[in-house]
Amino acid sequence: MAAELKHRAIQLWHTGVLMVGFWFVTPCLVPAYAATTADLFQAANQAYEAGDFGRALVYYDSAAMFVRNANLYYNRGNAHFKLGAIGRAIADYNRAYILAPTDVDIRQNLEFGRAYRPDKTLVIPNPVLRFLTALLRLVDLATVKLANGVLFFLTLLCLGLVFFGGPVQRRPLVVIAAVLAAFWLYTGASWLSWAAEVSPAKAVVVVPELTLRSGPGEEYKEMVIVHDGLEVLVRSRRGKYVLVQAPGGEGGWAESSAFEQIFPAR
Amino acid sequence: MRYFPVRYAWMVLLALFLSAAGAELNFSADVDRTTVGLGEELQLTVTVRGTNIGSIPRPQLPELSDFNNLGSTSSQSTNISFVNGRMTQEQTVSFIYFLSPKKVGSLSIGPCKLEYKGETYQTQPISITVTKESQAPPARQGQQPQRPFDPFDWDPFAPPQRQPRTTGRIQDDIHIVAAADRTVVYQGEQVTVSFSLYTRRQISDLRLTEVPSFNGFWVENLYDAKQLQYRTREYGGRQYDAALLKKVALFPTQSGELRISPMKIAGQAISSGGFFFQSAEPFEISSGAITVTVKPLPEQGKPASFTGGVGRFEVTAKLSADSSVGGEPLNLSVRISGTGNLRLIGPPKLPAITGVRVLNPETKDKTSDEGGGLSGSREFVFPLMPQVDGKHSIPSLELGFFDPKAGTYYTRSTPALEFVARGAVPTAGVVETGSGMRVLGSDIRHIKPCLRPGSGGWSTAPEWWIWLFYPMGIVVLTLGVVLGRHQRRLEQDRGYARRTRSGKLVKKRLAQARGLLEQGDERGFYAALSQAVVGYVGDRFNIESQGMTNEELTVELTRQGVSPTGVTELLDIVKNCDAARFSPGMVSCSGREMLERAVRTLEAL
Repeated sequence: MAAELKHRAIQLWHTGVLMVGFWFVTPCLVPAYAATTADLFQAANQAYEAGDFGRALVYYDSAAMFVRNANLYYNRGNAHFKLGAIGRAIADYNRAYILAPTDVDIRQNLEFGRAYRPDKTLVIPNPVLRFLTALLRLVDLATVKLANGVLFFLTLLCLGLVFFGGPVQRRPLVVIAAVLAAFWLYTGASWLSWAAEVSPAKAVVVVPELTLRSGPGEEYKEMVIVHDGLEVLVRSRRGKYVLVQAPGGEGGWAESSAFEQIFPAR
Repeated sequence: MRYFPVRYAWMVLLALFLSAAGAELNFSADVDRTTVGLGEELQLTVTVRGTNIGSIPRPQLPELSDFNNLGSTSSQSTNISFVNGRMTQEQTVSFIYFLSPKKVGSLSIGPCKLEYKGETYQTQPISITVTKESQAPPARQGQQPQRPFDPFDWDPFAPPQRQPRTTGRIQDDIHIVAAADRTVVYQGEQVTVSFSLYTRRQISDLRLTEVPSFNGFWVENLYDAKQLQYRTREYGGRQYDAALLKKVALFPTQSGELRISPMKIAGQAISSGGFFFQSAEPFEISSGAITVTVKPLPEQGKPASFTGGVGRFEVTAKLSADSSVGGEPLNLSVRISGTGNLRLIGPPKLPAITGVRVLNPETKDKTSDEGGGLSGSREFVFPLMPQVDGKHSIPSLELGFFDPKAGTYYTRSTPALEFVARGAVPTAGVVETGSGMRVLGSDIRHIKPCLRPGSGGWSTAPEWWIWLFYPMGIVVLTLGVVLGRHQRRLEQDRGYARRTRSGKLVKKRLAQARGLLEQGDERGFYAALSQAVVGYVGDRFNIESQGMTNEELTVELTRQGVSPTGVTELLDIVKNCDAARFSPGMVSCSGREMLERAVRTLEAL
């Protein structure tokens, strides 16, 4: 009995030491980790400034393993663009745009990359739709998600107080709940708008020229030839082949290695 | 389910496109004439035409046992069109075969086949009428041959211009001589080979029985005899009537010892025995084979711009226009002219031009064999599609070639060219230059110097806690509704309020009774216990129990659904309490037992 108690005491002591150690060591690890990412980013920028875009890309890729940052994707997109990989550049600009939708440089380079690709997609923007889209994308997706959750809670809290409180407090609470509900609806619509943008079905062609076929195999008939940078929607998967749809409705099957999925990001 | 109609529409679109795409490749065969004289040349053109097609394999010819295949060539052209902003690239590849019929009559060229991308295409068969008479247009007077007769269909009734010699054996009198102007050359250097007929006899029914093969060479057909033009030539110390049958320019495509196989012809040698007495003797003769030693091109000094040219060339470049509006393409023509293997020269390497998309070039050839070697020009037309606005520069292009006479490489270059594009990118940023020209964003914007602070993490930040807000909100709302309803009922429904509070009250009263018991105040204890029991019953069933008699209480409790046992037990407790208060000693159980009994009975209600 005494031996068992002693054993338990030793176990408790070890656990305590580990917990205390973890408590003190973790804050030390986090800055070191952050410094490494920042160093990689700076090293990549230096390589880019020196015109060594290939080396810059290696550093950007390494940094992207640790953080998801709009500027990181933007710079990596630039390195891809300088190396002639229009498709990969467009994929990175798209990722940066989701994280920082109001950044003018990101939007400019995204549009530039799209204009530079061989396959032109003529889009005549509907002014109303354009206005609504801009209105719904005033803030980034992460903020919209958080705001939607908080607003949902606050709206229902107000409604709960309306039901709970007396008639004197009811009127101002109803007004506050209505205002909160309106904001909640706005953030919900914004979330939906962003959700369409970050759909995992979105992909970019990353090979210079690609033949889309009528079936998942080389033996099928050629349907259409597309080029680097074309943004497509993945409709179906079969083995190593995917069925993609290009803007305008045309599409076909090709090997999935010819595409880069935009979201979730690599 | 919401997306099902969209998916369905997509499949319909795909099916429609499938059906439309079936007609993309056009495969046809045609001849330059359907009536041809025996031994005359016939041109069979097999054409493949399609949009956005890749490299086309050589089509399979049908069995041509009734024809001699005299050689082939091919040509290619590309046509680019824009319809509603969409570019279509139509490519036409023509394979041209030179055939010669072997016999008179109605012959047929069977269907040609093409295997392309897993599909088999087939042409219609072609009927050819072969006559004994020549179908070739009559030669002009100035070019009248010395002896105008068809070598492969000689007319014995035509007046001979030269009396054939009939003396000697056929092998001594008739020869085919294959001759090459050189037998040691560099790879790609021209070798001119001719096949000539030497005869001392009059011959008829001349026909080609074996066509020479030129494996390892690119062949340019320079001459094929339609009518033999005899000239007196000396061969082996004897005089012959000699006529050129065939002449080709050969360009070796590989190094090593290459063999040109012999040409064979057959016919009848006419022996004259007087005006009415002629006899014909069949013969078949063959030329000798030729072996050409091909030296590889030296690696030393080979310029990077070398694309296979061997000979002497000049290169020029020009643009079809000096400006482009609205993204319209321009043509950059690079023309290579000179003497040598023009058709083997590949397109010059065009460096990447920022802001300009360069499409595959169309090739146009113009060649002739005047001057001893194949000369002329090869033109590569590159369509240029401006992608961004502004001034675009096409750098100097270089062409490297090997001069076999000098045994060294040379490089020729074109001057740099420029053009201005406007309206290719309507939404690009505008920069004013010193010259006043508006340059619209010709490059991406520069990189960011540091990581974005606080830039989210739609993928790194934990999202699970965001989702907690939703169930928490529902819980809060539910609580508000339930508690609000409870509050209002407490205020409005007395029975509900009494029943709700009865539990708390009875606990309080029982605790009070227990305290009195512990203090030893038995009268007070029984009074409090009785009040607790009767009060609880009153609160629980919302009745005024304090003033009721036992009979009234029994009736009311029974009406409220309390079991008879429960009613009896309650009344018994109340009766015992009263008895203990007013007649101590009449109660058989202790106060603690009475308290526990009361608790059990009230819990059972």
